[in-house]
Amino acid sequence: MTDKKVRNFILAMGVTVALGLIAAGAAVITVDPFFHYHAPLKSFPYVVDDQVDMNPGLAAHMDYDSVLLGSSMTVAFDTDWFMEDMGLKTQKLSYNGAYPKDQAIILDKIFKAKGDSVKRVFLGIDELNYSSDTEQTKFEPTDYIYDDNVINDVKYIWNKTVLLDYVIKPLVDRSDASEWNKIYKPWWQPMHYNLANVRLYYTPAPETPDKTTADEYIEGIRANLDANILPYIEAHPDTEYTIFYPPYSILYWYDAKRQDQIDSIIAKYDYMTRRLLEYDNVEVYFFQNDRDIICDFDNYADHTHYSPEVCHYMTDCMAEGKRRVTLQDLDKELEDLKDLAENYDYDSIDL
Amino acid sequence: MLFNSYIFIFLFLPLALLGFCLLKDRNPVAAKVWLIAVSLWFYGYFNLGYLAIMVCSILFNYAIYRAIVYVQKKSATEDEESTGSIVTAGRTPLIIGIAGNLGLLIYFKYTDFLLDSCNHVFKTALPLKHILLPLGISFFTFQQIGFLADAYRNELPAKETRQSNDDDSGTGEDDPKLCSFVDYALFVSFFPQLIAGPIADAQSMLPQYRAIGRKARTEGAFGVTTEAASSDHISPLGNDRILNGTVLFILGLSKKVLIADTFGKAVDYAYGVSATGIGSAEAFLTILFYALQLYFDFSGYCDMALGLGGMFGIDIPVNFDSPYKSRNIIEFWRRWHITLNKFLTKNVYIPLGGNRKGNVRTYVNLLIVFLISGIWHGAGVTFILWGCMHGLMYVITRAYMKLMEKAHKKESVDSGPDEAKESYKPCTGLLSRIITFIFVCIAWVFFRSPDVSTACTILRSTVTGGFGHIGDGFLEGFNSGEFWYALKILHLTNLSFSRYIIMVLFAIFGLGTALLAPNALYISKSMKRTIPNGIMLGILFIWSVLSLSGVSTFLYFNF
Repeated sequence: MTDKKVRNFILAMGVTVALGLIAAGAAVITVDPFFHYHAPLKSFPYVVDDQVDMNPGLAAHMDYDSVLLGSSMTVAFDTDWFMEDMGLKTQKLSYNGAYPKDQAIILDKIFKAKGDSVKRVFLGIDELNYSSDTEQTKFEPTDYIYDDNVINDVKYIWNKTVLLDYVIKPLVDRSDASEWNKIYKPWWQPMHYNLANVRLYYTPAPETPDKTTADEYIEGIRANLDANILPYIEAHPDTEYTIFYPPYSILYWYDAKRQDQIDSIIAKYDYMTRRLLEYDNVEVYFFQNDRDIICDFDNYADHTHYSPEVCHYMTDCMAEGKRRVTLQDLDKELEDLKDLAENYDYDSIDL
Repeated sequence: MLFNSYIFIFLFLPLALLGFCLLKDRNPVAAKVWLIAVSLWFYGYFNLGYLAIMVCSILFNYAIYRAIVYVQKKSATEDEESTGSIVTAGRTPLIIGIAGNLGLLIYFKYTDFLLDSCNHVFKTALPLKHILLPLGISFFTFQQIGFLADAYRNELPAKETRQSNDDDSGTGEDDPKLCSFVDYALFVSFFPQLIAGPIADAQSMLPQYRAIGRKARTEGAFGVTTEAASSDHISPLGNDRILNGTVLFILGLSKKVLIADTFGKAVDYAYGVSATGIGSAEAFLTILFYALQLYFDFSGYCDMALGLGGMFGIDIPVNFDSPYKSRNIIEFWRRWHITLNKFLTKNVYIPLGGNRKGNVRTYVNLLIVFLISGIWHGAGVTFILWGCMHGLMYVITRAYMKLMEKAHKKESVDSGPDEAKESYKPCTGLLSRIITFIFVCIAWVFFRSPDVSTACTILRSTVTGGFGHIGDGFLEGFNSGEFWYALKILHLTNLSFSRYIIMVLFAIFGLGTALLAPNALYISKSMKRTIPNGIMLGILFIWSVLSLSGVSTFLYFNF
């Protein structure tokens, strides 16, 4: 084999590798589908469906003055409603199944990027996850997205999934492009919000003989509020925090009753609300005992996830101060909730 | 650090290669120390605690080795005055060395298994330790045991005369067989073979490490003499050894990343849902796909290791030679994990008496070897069962072959000698090949399963699961990314059977490659150095690199 042939072979291989890697890297950096380096291009049909990888980029580079945080209970909100009702340019940064630590991580990103220009934080709190370990996250944060190490960005810019699914595919098929005001929206359509659909996913929780003590979860809640939520409220007193508890359907309370957990869950709401309302920049909205929402299965696709219409109603409430709970009327609301949860005619539900 | 990671490919390897090339001709000892240093970085990247264990292991074994040498020297001096033999000299340090290595291995790998077994048998409640297994511990302990045994048997390779006179490794001693600490440390820690083998032997490796920076005269897997390679000033252009190594590395990388991991997704899915029931078709395919996943995973790793060794001018022993082409189980074990088989033959089978003590003892010895092989692969009943299955099959095949050969010989004597009849080899036909492949696939079920019950469920599902249903989860690994886009471009996604197309193509390609194609080592050497081939390899490399983001470890890392 002649030297020239070998040289050409090496050259062909080297040039192919160099050009291929440069082209792939340039395409990813230019489009930047996870918004890691810059704000979205105006004309590109982005597919925004990966909360773990996209939220930090959205927090860093989008133009907004308020944010919507929470679990899958917040994905059906349309952020245009916040503009219409309150004049706020709101960025949705939900994490399905979010734990408090997930909120802390994204709050860090938000305040690092925007500082005190954030006027309002809308935070949906799922009591279920707020007594977990304070370091628990729903998903392992992707290292190259969440850290400040430029070197490991190589995993982003030379990434087949990013290149194919988020750069090339949207260009070929624009039909999947996300609407910015409805990112992360659930796949359920209007026809899915009814009892028949709820029934598909629901199995009553097993009845448990042991009664949970009322303060069973308080220590976990305290630790999570102290570690993951309250520090941000204290550090940014000019930012207004609008906190709401997502209204699960009456079946959620049916399970709680079957497991003798009504008192311990209500104790959680009581403790959380009192701790949060210690701050002047916090307001809490309480929809748990809103019978028009939680007793009507046409509002639900499963026993906890409510429809966009309910989200719209809650947005209106938060704009108008309706269903806002204060320290003065908290006991009354909780008593009403307890009465509803304990005395509802569950047999009337056609399961 | 994984071979199939960005940091290895774009940072570690270029740095390691650059430092080695700069130092090799100027100061060979410094080049070796550099290789040891980067190897320790490579290993310590996983966990610094692991690194401390490995370094301690190297120091311990080298001390034992020197003790063996000392005792043997002393014994030889005494023998000049009396009539003893030095063969048994050094037995005590050897036993201490083996016990130390096995103790380390047992503690880290088998403690929980032993405690769990104890709890089951004696109905005790001893708490499990959950000790983190240092990666590659089975490989580097066995490699060091082999080295000590070779030293004890006085089988370590001697330095060439010139090397011996001009040894700059800093030993300051004139024993031509004495291995310097630097050479020993490199022998154990050389990163291409550190984590998942091969279990290299001193005879083939030490002369190469000693030849770094010098002209030597050995020829290895790449067919390039060490003399030629060593005398070259390694440069990116024109060095065939680096080029062959690079080609082999790319082929290995693509086997692992593009093929093994794709099969792996389907296999992981099926094992994940097996408890809730899988169909017969899925069960059959799971068994087949795991056989192919393991094949491409292990052969991909071996190719990369061989290629990397080649880049540094070191011929790492071939560990994998198209094993699914084997015509019987005996041949399979000459092709699969070759160096482990050699190690066990040399250090277990032969010391037990090999085939020198009659048929029954031979078969018992073979069963012991396979039992050890099973236990070596993993701390669990499934691995023991897997080893026993192979042991039994090996013994049955060997007995049958002996019987047939004997009968044939008798027939030949009766009917007169005939050349064609003399070359008669039983268990080498197509049927034998098919039976061997099926047997190996079934045995892998136990190898892969977390427990015996899961293995039985998978096997049972092949007949009770009902045909026809292959779930989307099983197909997802095939029907995603670039392959699905290829179907879309070809407008094949609207066909009723489109969801099966890629899986079927993968199965055909995997089986075809495993059963018929030449191995990657041959391809890397014989591939014509043309521009189209260069472009093709470049594309394969890019494709593999872009696929690295879903990094997965090598299956053999766990052993």
